[in-house]
Amino acid sequence: MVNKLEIRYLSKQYGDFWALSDVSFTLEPGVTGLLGANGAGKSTLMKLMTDHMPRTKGEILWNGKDILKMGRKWRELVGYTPQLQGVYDDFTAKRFLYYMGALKGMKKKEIREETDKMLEAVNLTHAAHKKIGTFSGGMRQRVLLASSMLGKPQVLILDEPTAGLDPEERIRIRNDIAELARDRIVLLATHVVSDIACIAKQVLLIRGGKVIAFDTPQNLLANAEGKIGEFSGTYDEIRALQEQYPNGEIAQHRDGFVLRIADDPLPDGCKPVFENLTLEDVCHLYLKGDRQYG
Amino acid sequence: MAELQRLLLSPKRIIILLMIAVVNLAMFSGFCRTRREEDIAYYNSMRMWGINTKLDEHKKTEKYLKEDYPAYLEYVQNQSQAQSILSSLTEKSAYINRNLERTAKTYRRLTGIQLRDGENRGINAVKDYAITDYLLLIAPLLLILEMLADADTAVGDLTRSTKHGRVPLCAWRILAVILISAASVVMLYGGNILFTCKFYGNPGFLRPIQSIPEYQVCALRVTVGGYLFAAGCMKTLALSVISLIVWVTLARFHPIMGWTLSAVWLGGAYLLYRLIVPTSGINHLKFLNVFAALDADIFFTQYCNLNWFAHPSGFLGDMLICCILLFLVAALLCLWLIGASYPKKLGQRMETIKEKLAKFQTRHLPVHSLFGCEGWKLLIAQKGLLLLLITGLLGFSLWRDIHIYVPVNSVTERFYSQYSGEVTQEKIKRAAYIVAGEARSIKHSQIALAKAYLNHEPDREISRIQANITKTQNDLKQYSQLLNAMLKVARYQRDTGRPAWFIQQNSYIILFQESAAERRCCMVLLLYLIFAFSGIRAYDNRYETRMLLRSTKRGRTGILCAQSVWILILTLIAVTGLHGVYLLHLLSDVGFPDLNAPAQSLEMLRRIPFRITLRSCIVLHFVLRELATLVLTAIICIISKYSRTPQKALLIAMVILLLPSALAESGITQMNHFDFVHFLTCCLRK
Repeated sequence: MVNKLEIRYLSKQYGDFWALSDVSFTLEPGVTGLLGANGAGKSTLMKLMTDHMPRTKGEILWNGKDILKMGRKWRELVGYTPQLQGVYDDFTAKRFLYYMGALKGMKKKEIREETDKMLEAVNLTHAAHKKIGTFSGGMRQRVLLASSMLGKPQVLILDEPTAGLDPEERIRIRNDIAELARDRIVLLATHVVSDIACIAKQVLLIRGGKVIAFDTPQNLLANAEGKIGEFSGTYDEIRALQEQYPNGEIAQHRDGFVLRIADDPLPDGCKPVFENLTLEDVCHLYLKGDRQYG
Repeated sequence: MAELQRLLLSPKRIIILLMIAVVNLAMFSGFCRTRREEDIAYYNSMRMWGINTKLDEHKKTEKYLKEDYPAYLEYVQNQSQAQSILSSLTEKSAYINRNLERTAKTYRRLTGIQLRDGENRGINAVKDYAITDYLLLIAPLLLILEMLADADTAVGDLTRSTKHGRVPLCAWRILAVILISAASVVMLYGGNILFTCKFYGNPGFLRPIQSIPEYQVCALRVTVGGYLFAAGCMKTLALSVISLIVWVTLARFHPIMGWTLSAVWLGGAYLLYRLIVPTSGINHLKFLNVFAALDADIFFTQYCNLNWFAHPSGFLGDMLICCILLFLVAALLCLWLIGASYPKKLGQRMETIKEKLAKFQTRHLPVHSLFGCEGWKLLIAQKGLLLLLITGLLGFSLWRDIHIYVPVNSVTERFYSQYSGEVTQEKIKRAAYIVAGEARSIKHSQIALAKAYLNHEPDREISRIQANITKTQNDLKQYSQLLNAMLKVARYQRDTGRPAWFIQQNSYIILFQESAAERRCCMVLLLYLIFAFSGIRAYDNRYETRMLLRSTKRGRTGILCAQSVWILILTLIAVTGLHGVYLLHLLSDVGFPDLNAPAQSLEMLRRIPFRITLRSCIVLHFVLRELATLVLTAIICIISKYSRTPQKALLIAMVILLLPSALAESGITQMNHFDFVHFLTCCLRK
């Protein structure tokens, strides 16, 4: 049986503000990219999925069972990497992973074996004895990622796991996540759209606490066709146009400057682009007007 | 100037200073109260033997002021003269002659000094309370650690890149160290002096310091106020020197090397100061020592000339020169090595050794259960083990210094041995018969005395009879008191129908009634609880790990259970350790007779409405203490849960739990309702 995580009409209210409103989607094994502007409700969604806060209404069902009723059993299935880099500076990397293993209720032998494996996976074997306080941001992120993967969780919830990593490390981690996602559900929120483009099976776009798109990258790209266009001209002309279209992205081509915009319908004079569309363009299209997406 | 303001006037700094002052005041007031209670207990126990210690002490002081001190001055001069005569006859060393001459010359300045009686106990308490000297070190050292931490971050690079970011900045920081040292002295040492003025009364700041017998050998013409001021200045100088040397050491060496070197030189200096006797040939190392300057009192309670190539020199002057020179050298080193030079750390090899050790340790790191991991967090990462050790040492030294005096003599001992236990009519009759017998004996003795006068018997015989009468009167008084106590028990039994025994109550009174010693011990316990458990939840908040922990299988109730068990274990160890030592102390010094007697046998426990033996009462008392400790620990844990960092939790816990107790201890009775130290003692107030 294929595992399924269903989110049904999930809502969260803070005072008068609805951080999430009737969000519904179903996750299956594979990477699901989560994109949305800051404050769109991504972290709230993740907190609800890890049962860190009470929901206002709705359900989260794991193979048909509500995770609230599952309690410890649900948390046993979840691996979580928070955005805040919550790690103890006084702990060495290895001690921290041992601690997380104990928290996950793993057996001592398993903890020892898996810790070594995970340290190697995130390329931290050489720093296992060092205190986390001496680590760079990227290294701390890798420790967290390793900790979330301990205990072979069925669901991985990763909040910006590649933030602060250098390009090489990012690719390595990205590949690891893709490998892990072959038989488990991975929800990946990231600022780096290209990460999602590479490994995501589905993309979830959130805006103002609502799901505005949930589809495969291919379908999303197909939907975006004809809605992405470019103005070309001199730098001054393009700058003047950007004032009109503040969300447009300026790029420099061999034959001059272009302003790439996403809109439905495209404004007059804007030449539609049909080739080399990216998820970045999809984000422009769906999330334009939000402060900062992704 | 801005740097000075930033470092000294920050709310954090002020709060730290205030908190240290509060802790110090609480501990010092406990010390003074314990002393007073011990004095009273000693006085009472001596009075049972017919000795009035108060009168004796008063007479002794009078004698010291009028006879002993002038005689001492005369003795010093005479000895010098005698030596000069002797030296012409014998071959004595030149140094001894010069030393005696110099001593006589120094003391000649004190001729005609007018000593005055006054309240000496306060000054003696300030002198004897050494813990303040160690607490003084905290604020300057914390400032230095903060400056060192700044230097290791980007802030250090930023400040060094500015125009005044090197030598001038370092100079301001040196000034900040001096000022924080002075502020510490004023708040802690000054606080102690003010407290003694309130507690014991005005010590008479304008009378010569020699008016206090403990300062008899002081060779300076200085008043009590002048002495306190001079001691404060010396402490400030010593603190500044220690702080600057530690600063420069830690700034120029790898942390392990720096701390080791600092520990070696500080520990070495302290040991030299403590272990060398004043008359030793190497007493230079004792007196020309920063710890001697930090103590300061040693220069006013002792007299010594240092031998410099057979020439005597006053130890106070030498120490001042030495400390000022040390201060200048340390300040120049700071300016040069921290301000002017490029930041560079010596002893980098330590890093390799440290790394190798860490690698070895990690390779053999055992996998702990969640309980073990939480224990590591609490005991090692949050220094709980160190705190437990310090508390143990403090508690042990507290109880070691406490003396228990019980008003018991042979009369009471005899009476209790015969009549303690259940009160029966037979016992009352026998006791009354003894009282009547004593009264008859006095009458007979009085008749014998009259006859002796009439028969012109020798004075010796008359004195003997008189002494006999006084003794019998004294015994009669005590027998009557004991009989009354016995009758009271009998009346209580008759009126209430509850059983009660006539027993010796002293040790039980000491145990169940709140004493200053008990309060001091509980103050240490409260401090331990605050320091040990402030970080229990705030530690997770500081590193923002709560969300991560809560997302795991055992990250909720599992952690809570593990932490609760550790709290239970650690509080049990602390409570049993601190109170257990006291109980053993009481057992060995006084003992607990009639443990099977009903609790109502004690006057203070007569209101207990159910049947319980004293043995059970003692057990219950300890259980209550453990529960009270757990209640306070729970409050600290709640504070910790809602605090962003362990430091904030510590401060809040101190303000909520310690400050009211410290104020109550200092005599502000309105704070008695919030006196958590009293809550911890679980004793009845006097």
